Formats: sequence, C-alpha cells, structure tokens
Amino acid sequence: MAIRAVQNKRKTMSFIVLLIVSILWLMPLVWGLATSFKTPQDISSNPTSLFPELWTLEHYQGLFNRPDTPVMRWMLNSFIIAGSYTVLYLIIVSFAAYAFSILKFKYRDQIFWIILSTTMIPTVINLVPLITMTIDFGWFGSWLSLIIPGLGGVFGMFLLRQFFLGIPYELVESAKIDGLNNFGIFVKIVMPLSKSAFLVAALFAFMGNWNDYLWPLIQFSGVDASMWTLPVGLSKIAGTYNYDYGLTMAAAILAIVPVVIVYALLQDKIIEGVARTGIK
Amino acid sequence: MKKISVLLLILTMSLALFACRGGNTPTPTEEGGKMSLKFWNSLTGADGSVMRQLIAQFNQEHLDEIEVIETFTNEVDYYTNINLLVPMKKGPDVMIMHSYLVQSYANTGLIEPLESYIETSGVDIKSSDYIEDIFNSLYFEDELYGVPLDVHTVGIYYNKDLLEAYDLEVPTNRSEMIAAAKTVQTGEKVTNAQFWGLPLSSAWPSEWVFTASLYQNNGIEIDENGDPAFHSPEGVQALKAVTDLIHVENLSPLNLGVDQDLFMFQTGKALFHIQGSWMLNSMIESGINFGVLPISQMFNLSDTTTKNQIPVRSHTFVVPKPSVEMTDARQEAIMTFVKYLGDHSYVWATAGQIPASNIARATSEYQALPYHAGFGDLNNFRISAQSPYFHQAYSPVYSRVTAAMANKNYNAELLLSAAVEEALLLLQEARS
Amino acid sequence: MQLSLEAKRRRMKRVIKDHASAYAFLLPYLIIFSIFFVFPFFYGLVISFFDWNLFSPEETSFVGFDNFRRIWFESDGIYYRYFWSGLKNTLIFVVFSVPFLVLIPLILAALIDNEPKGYKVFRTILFMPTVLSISSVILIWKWQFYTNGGFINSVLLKLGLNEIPFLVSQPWAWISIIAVTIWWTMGTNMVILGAGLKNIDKTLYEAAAIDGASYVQTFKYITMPSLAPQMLIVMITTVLASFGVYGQPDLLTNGGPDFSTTVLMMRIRPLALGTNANPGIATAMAISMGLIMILVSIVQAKIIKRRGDA
Repeated sequence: MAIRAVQNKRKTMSFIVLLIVSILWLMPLVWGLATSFKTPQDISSNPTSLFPELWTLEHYQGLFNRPDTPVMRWMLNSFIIAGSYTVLYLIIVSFAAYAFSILKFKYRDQIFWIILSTTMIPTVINLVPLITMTIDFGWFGSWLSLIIPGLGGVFGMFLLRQFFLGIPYELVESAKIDGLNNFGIFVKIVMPLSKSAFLVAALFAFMGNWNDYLWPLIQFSGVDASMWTLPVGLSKIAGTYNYDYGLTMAAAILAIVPVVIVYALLQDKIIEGVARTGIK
Repeated sequence: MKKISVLLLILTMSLALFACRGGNTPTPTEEGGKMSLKFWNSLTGADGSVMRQLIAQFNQEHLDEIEVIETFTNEVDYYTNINLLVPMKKGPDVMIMHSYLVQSYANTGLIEPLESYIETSGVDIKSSDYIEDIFNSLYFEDELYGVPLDVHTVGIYYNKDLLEAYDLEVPTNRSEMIAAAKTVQTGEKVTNAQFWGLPLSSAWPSEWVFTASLYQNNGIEIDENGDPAFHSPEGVQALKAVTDLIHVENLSPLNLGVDQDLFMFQTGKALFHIQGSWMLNSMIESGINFGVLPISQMFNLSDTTTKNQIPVRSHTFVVPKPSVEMTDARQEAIMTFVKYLGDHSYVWATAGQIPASNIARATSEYQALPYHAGFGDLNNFRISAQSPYFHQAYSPVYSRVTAAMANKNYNAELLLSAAVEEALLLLQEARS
Repeated sequence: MQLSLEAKRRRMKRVIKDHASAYAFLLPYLIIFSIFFVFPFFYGLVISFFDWNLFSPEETSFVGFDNFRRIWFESDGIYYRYFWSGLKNTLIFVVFSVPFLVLIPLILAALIDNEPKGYKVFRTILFMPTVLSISSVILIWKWQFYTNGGFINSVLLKLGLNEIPFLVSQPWAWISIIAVTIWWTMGTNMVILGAGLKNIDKTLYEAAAIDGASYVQTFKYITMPSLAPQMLIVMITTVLASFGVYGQPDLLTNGGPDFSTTVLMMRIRPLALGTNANPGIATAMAISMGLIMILVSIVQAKIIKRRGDA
C-alpha cells in the first residue's frame, strides 16, 4: 500500500546515507587497525597509507611476549573491576533513579537537580581529597578504590531517571491498586519496561570504568604490575620519545576489543528490548 | 525475575570479594635483614626495558640484602604522581628526576639533601667520579640534591650512503652542513620531490634545537637573578639561526609535525635529522646506514667563543621526602643502589644515553658502543642554567620558537617579548 | 469530606511508609554520593578560599575570596589571563561543537530507526569510536591532518587544491578538533536517542501517516516531543562534556596556534596537579566554571521543558 511504499523509500534513503557515513566513520579505524599490522618501515615510509605492504604480527607479539607487561592479565583485571562496578552501579543507581522519578516525596526534584549540579565542578580538583580518603580507609592501591567511589556517578542515574519518567503513571497507579508496594512496582513494572535503558546505562558504566585512566594510575603507583588495569598498563608500554606507532596502535586495538564485543552482544538487546508502552 | 536477581547478587558479592583481595602494596620492610626499596621513574618503552634489565641484575647480585621494586609511569603523568603522593607519604624511597627540575623540587622541600645520606651509608659517591659540570649543577643552596645517572642530548644523524654518493665529507660546521644539505637536496629532488636536506619539525625537538642555537650564539637562558635573558640580540640571532634553515635556506618544508622529520630520515628522504640520543635504537632498527655528528658549530651565525656548546639534560637520582622511617640501613641501601646503577650505567647506555659516571664510561663495554662518541666531546656539554624557577623563566619561549618556525614572516621581537612577559608573570607568581 | 480518625491515621501511616520507602531506595546512592562527591566538593570549595601549598601544607594561608578576585578581575595578573582566555576558548568549542554533537546523532539515530538493511552493522560501526581512549583517537587522527604526507592533504592535492595546515592555523585548528570530537563521541548520544526512539509507539506513526503527515511533520510533532526526556539528558550532558574538553586540544594542536585552542581545563589541570601547582586558584577556576555550567544547564532545562510541554 502507499504507506508501505513510503516506508520502503525511507529505508532506501536511510541505507544510502548510512552507508556513506559509515564508510567515512570506519576509515580512521581501519587505518588504526592496519597500522597495528604494519612493519615499522612501512609505518615510517608512508604513514597514512591505508593498508600494509607486508602484514606482520610483531606488534601484537611484542605486547604479549614482554614479561614486564602482562597484557592478558591486565585485560582480566579490567574486566573484573569494570564488571563488578557495573553490576553494583546498576543496582544502586536504578534504585535512586526510581526514587527520583516514580516515587513522590518532598523536594524530590530539587534534590535531584542539586545532586546534578555538584557534579558540574570538574573532578580534577577532587583528586586530593579522594586520595586522602582512600588512604585513610586503607583502600589505597586496592581495587576497592576503583569500584566504590565511582558508584556515586550521576550519568547513569540521570539516564535511568529520564527513561523512568517516560513510563505512563497510569501503569504505576493501577499496580498500586493491585496492591503492589514500591519495591513490587519497581521490579514488576518499571524494570521490564526499561530493559533498553538498563543496558545503555550498563554499557556506559562499563565503558567509563574500563577507560578510566588517571585515577587508577595514581592508585597503582606503588603496586605490582600484575594488578594494573589495561589502560594504565598500556600507557607504560609506549616510550616517551621513541614513539612506537605500531605497538601503540596494537595496544589501542587490544584495549577496545573487549568493549566492542560487549557492545556487539548487547546492542541487540539494548535497542530491541521490550519497547512498547501500553499494557501488554 | 527473582532467580536472576539472586544470581546477580551472588555474582556481585563474589566479584567484590575477589576485588578486595587485589592490590597488595609491597610495603618496604626490613624482614630478615633484606631491605626492600621502592624506585620510581618515567622510563617507559623500549629503553625502559633496559632499565628493567639493569635492576634485575642489581637484585640478583644483592639477593639477600636489597630488593628494588620498580614502578614506571609515562612522563606526562609521572610528576602528577610525585606531586600528589610524596606529600601524602605514599612516595618511593628513591626516584629519577629530570635535572632541570631538581632545583625547583629542592626549593619546595619535596626532595632531600644527599650529603648526609652519602656519609651515613659510607658508599663511595664523589663528584670526581661524575661529569663535573653535571654533578655541580645539582647543588641548591650549597647542598647536594641529586646524583646523575646519565646525560642525554641531541645530535645530527646523517645518511652515510647519501654523503658518499655525492662525494661529501662529514660537515664540521654550519656552512659545510648547509652546503652539503643543499647539494644533496637539489640532486635528490630531481627524482624524489619529497626529499629534503634537513627537515625540521616545528614541534619537537625544537626546544632543544633553539637551546643549542642560543648557547652557540653566546646567549643565555636566564640571568643571575633567575630572570629570562633570552630576549637579547643573541636570542634573536639564535632564533634566526634555527628558522633560517626553513625559511631562507629552504632545507625543510613548513609545518612538519612531531616525527614527520624522523620518518623522512628513516626512509631515506632526508640527509640530516636533528634528534635525541635516546632515539639511537630506533635509528638502528630503521636500517638506514647512518652516522652521528655533534651539533657543535651548527648554529652560530658568527664566530663566538661558545660555538661548540652542546645542550644536555640529565636523568638524576633524587630521594623524596620519606614516606617511611629513614633508618641508617635504608640510607645505605639507597646509596648502594645509586652507586651500582651509576657504575653499571654502560648497560643503560645501550638505550642511547650517555653515562654520567666516569667509571662507567671508562669500561670497555661502553667504549665499544659505536655511536655514542658521535654526540660530541664531553667538554662541550652544557647543562641548563640552574634556578628553582628555571621552568617558569625559560619554557615560555618554546611555543614561540614553534610559531617562528611555522611562519616565514615572524617578528622575533614580538615573539620573544611575549615569551618574556609570560615568564615574568609566572615568576612573579612563583616567587610570592 | 470529613475523614474519620482511623482514616487519618491510616493515611499518615501510608505517607510515612511512602517516605520511608523512598529513603530506602535513595539511601545507598546518597551515602556513597555524599562520601565521595559531596565531601570532596566541599573540600574543593574550602581550598578555593586558601592560598594552598600542595608541597608544604604548613605554608597554606586563608585568603578569602582573593583567588576568585584574581581570576575574575586582576587584569594584569597571569591567572586572569589564563582564566579568561581559557574560558573564551572553551566557550568557542561549546558553541560550535554542541549543535553538531546533538543534531548528527539525532539524524543518524532516526535513519537507523527506519531499520534499513544492515542497520545493526551501521549502528555498531558508528558507535565504535566511542570505545577508544583519547590517546588512541589522537594517534589515529593526528597523522591524517599533517601536511607533507597526511591523508587529508594528499586527497586535497590529488583534487588539485592546496594543502591546508590543519593543526597550526585557524579556523582549521578548531575545525580539526571539532571533527575529531564528533567522530569520537557522537556515538553516546546516538545510542541514547536511539533507545528513546525505539520507545515511541509505532502506532502513532501509522496514525500520522494515515492522516497524510509528511516525514518532517511526523518528526516535528510526534517524534521530538516523545523524545524530550532523552533530548534533555543529551543536551545537558553534551554541553557539560564540551565544557570539560581537555584531551583533544591538548594533544591534537597543543593548545595552538598561539594558545588559541588552549581551553580552560588545560589551564586548570596543571594548576591543580603540576609542578607549579596553585590548588587554590585551580579550584577557584573550576568552581567558577562549574557555576557557569550550572547556569547554562538551568537555562537549557527550562527551554527544553517549555518545548516539551508545547
């Protein structure tokens, strides 16, 4: 019918535009990937050529073979730390987001905006008090410092709140009439309708923690290399002046592979999630 | 739904418990007579690996007495760690610092004077065992604050094959160098439009290049009050000597970014390349048949008494304000470590550095290294002027040098006075 | 209606229970937030009133509002210069980057929402750069912008045009920084807006199509209002993130040419942590910047709320 034809036309247009944009987007990544497989000679002779003359695994081998840089261990560490963080974060923050959106209490919105405002001060100045605190708590140098302090992050809370606000309040009301308490409403109504939001929040929490650099760097300053996270470890591989482009690029690719895999697996669920309003 | 939440809870608990386990900070101890030292430095990458080797060697030879635990951080973040953690008593026992910062850190009290350490430890560290000027530069208010490990500098790498092909001698002064560069450039450009005689990146190591030029044109960085002194006729000449290579002699394209010139040299597209001694191994790996010649006499625009001078910096051992009790035994361990590394710094030299220790340089291992002599005569080495506010007084000139190198119609007076103005404001602030 | 005493008591019980319940949900977050965000915030606030000596704490002295006075008003001082030039450059970046960082993901998310062939692949590709660290991003891009062999200029030369020194002249330096930022970060907003789009009831679109609405009309009157909650967070977080920009101008153009891309964070960072640290000034600058950001966010929120109600 006419609607179908219109929809098909839109799909074709979308396809074309997305194709062009995606190719543009992909090229720098392809360059990075290719560079990690180029020989040093190749890199210096034609630094911006897209494909290697000769494919080599030497950079990746270099990453895995050096005894003072246990890359696989670092990946595992990052995974555990970011994973624990994400799980804890989602629980704590979704509760708070629920309170700030569905529940009603005095000054609810004002408190929310105040919380949001305090995070607008650049966090670099928080370093000194945070370091002091982790020392006083006895956490300095341990993974606890990388997991607990960040649980107060606002982004995920803000995100989930916005999604929860989109849930029609009639659903909440009819659940109340059915006799559900707040916790019941949270589990039976809000959570199922916000799967996509949860997964988005999970993804960003994971990524944010995974990519965190300065804070772990300071925490790990006196700690054995086997305890480091991946970004910290990789930063110590590249020399300061003699920049090994191939090695650094291989390290960069390695650092993003796990996160891309997590994203690729989740993305189906992220957007495809149960995304219907209305009572089904 | 309930099952999943329970599962998640268990997973979280176990992960968190696992996480708590992490991070056994090795605390320097004295159990069983073995002293454990924390050593920090900013030596990463391939040359960092050489340092790791050296430390392993030390630990091996001192198996039951001293164990050195090393943490290395890339240079950009290294001083952040020091600045934040030493005052909080989470710093190391001994660390490496760049020589031009020693006075500043001594001034703020973040590092310790070393003479008492040397005395208490009884270790034989004396100035006559090191390059005199370098050692003497580490005094602040008549107290010694550092022991040098190495000196590093920039030299002129040249393509041997090309010099031979054009039947040229290795240049010994500026006019010879320019002539050689022009000859080869003209010849090579016929077949290879991308060839240049002496490509110069305006970003790096331009600060070294300018400093060399400043010295050789009889200029100084700061005066005896620590105020900027580079805005002088000599300073203007120095700037001209650098920028002429690009704008007048046309030996380099404009706007070269970091490492563009390096890559050109390593792929045979340049005759000369000014670069640090620390890049030595990178040059060797590139496969180019190269030599090194000293930067002496390459920048003086007139016949000065200082035309041979070569700027150097040094990686220096310093001891930060202690985070643990500084017993006699600990002092001895630290000094033993410092002396050992100094004496054996011919191993460290393989990473492209020049040992500051006379003992190390006298060894046959060091003498056998083929390229190090090419960086010049030690007597021509000149370390940066010493002042606790050196960085504030001098570093503002770096960005202006870059601007001059990138712009044919630059105004030297304007640029240099802008640098001085910023320096004075910074100094005012720092001295208050 | 007169409530019996029983009913009143029951109602009060429910109110208390509701509030108790609310606090139970809030408590874990609030505790952690208070300890690790609020406390450092007040700590920073306090520091801004002192001439704080990082290395010799005993030399710290109280100076009241002097730090703020210096950065806001002392026109012949270095910190004034740093603050205002940094702020100006940051504002330039915010003003020119945010529209792109919101519109481009919006359009792309909308296109993907049409679910053309391979849309999942496109979505992954467009999102991937977001996962990279800043140093990887710079490593990938810096060489492409160089003259004498950079990819973009090679293409320009092939097209018969002149080379452009992207990183060392204006307005190209800003354009390069913004382009890299878009490539790197727009994926976040694309995902958020995409999730929001998916939540919109498709029957609304069908109804609009039956009524004969065009794509643009549908977008304007149905999609955008439904997307208001996501637009709010996207706008606010993007503006906040742009204010805090640091890595791209620092590593891509080194703050040049002539300090024209030296943003405020590049001034704050070394003052907070560097060898010539002045934490009092750094926190005063950070707080000032924060106040400006709060102001901007409030204005934004009001505008979006008004649009959403329309």
